[in-house]
Amino acid sequence: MNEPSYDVVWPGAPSGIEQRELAPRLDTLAGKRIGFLWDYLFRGDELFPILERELAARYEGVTFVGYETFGNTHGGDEAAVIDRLPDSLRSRAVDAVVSGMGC
Amino acid sequence: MARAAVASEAAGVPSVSIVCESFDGQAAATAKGHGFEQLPLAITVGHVDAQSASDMESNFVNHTVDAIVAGLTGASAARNGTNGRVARSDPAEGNERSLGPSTLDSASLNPAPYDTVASGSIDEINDAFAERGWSDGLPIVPPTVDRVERFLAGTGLDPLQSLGIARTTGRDMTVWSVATNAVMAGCEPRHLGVLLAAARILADPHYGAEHSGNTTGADALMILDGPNATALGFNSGVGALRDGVRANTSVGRWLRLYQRNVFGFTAAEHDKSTFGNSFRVVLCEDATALADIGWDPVSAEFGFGADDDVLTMARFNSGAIVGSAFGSTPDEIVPYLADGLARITGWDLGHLYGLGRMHYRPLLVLSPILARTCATSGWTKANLAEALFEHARIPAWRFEKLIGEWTNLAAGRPQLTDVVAAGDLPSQFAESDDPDRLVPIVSEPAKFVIAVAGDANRTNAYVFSHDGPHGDYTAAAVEQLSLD
Repeated sequence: MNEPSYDVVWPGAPSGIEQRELAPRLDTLAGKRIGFLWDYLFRGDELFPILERELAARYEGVTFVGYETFGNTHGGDEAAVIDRLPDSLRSRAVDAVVSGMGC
Repeated sequence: MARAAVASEAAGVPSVSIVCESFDGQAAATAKGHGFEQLPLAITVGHVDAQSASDMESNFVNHTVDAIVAGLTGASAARNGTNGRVARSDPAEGNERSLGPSTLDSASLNPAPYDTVASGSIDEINDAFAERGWSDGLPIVPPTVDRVERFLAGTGLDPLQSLGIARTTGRDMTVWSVATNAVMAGCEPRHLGVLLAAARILADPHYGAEHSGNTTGADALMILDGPNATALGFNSGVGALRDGVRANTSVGRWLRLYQRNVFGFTAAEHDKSTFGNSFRVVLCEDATALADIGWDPVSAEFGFGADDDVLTMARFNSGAIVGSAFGSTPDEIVPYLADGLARITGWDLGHLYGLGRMHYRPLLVLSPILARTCATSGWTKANLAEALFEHARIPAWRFEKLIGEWTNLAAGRPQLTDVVAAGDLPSQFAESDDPDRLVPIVSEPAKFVIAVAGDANRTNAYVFSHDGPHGDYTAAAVEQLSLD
């Protein structure tokens, strides 16, 4: 008995976005202002102070803007926090961002 | 975490994201889905929650800080010649290396809707779909062009119409993709209105579909209300939460397939569910019982009338039976129902404070006879919710351990008295500082969601713990489509 043959289509969907270039990287962290973004999970409250200490020891004049300045980047407030993030970074003259923690 | 970094990059501010080992694949997939596939990651050794403070610090300083610097300065690009797209400090090798895009190959596919992607017998098609990660492990109905077109016949819908963007993969949620997965799942064309409502919910930012692969593995439940649900073949009676009826089962299966194939919830991309659940069948409320006792359906809580056909979706972590409720008055059965709700609620309290803020909304599914026991005593749903609020309570010390010591979901392990003083929870959580005092499991009575379904005359209930903003209750009208 010959079984029927089927020509089938893909169950996915076309991409609706374009890939973009990253923002330009910094030449050095010396003298730069680094913003910390945190989702209030996975021990960021312990790790960000360690990171601040390590970077300050390596790069003269580096300064930091704490995660509490920007709000929780995950959960119920995520959308609002991320919506206002560009303005928050700009108004505080943040040069680069470290975002954690994904676990 | 990655979404915040994406927002920074889009604003012209360079970023690096810290992720635990084995979370990099999901983070990279999220970055690609948001248009920044080169997003730098700095990976920690293992999982920080399983490390002593000193081990965590040592691992972080010795293996992650360099990757953070490299991500912000592009230093790894200079060293590795890979543009530093995903920098990782590998403790085994003691140096940074670059992770390629191999796990994202499936996400890079883009066949046109009508392209043939496989040909063969039904067994060969099923094998091909399983190998490519396009099926859920059960046999599928081969999605031929003819079958997909017939699924949409007479609706007047443009197959290429987009219902929104999948907030994980950046893919267009086309009508065609909805129908293709519906064919595969064994849905009937008359269920298209329900599927389109589900797709609109997935596209709604309030629902938070992007969280559907979170590690604790909650899964969505679709709750269907309205006068046409029964006519569409949905079961609201015996076995209301079990597979066995085509409408409930195939539509529930469709959701899992759609999340897999369009949202990328597979182990290779966005799914980090540690255990997960099997897909949930559609819970159809018993409209007749609700009308008889004068209670509104779940959909009424979200702005719809009893005459509207409505799909409501939320994600739930755990479920449990509240079996053999004994009593002829609501006062007799409420303590047991409340015990079930308190029993099912554990780490999820983080959605009340910690992960979320007053987002926790557990679901109570009452059998019709239990609902009638309340209604015949003159109780409304609101009365029942108020009684549950008073009875579904746990010791304050247990609440604090669940959000603090046992999970670390609330940074700083705060006491409830401090949380209330800060205005983040209502006063009922700090009526004293006695650690043995009983506190609620939701922020207000209205946070309990109550549905009515199941065997009409069995005195059982079912309770679900809720995943808060990781799948918040969202409702959409089910449009009645004209079909050929």
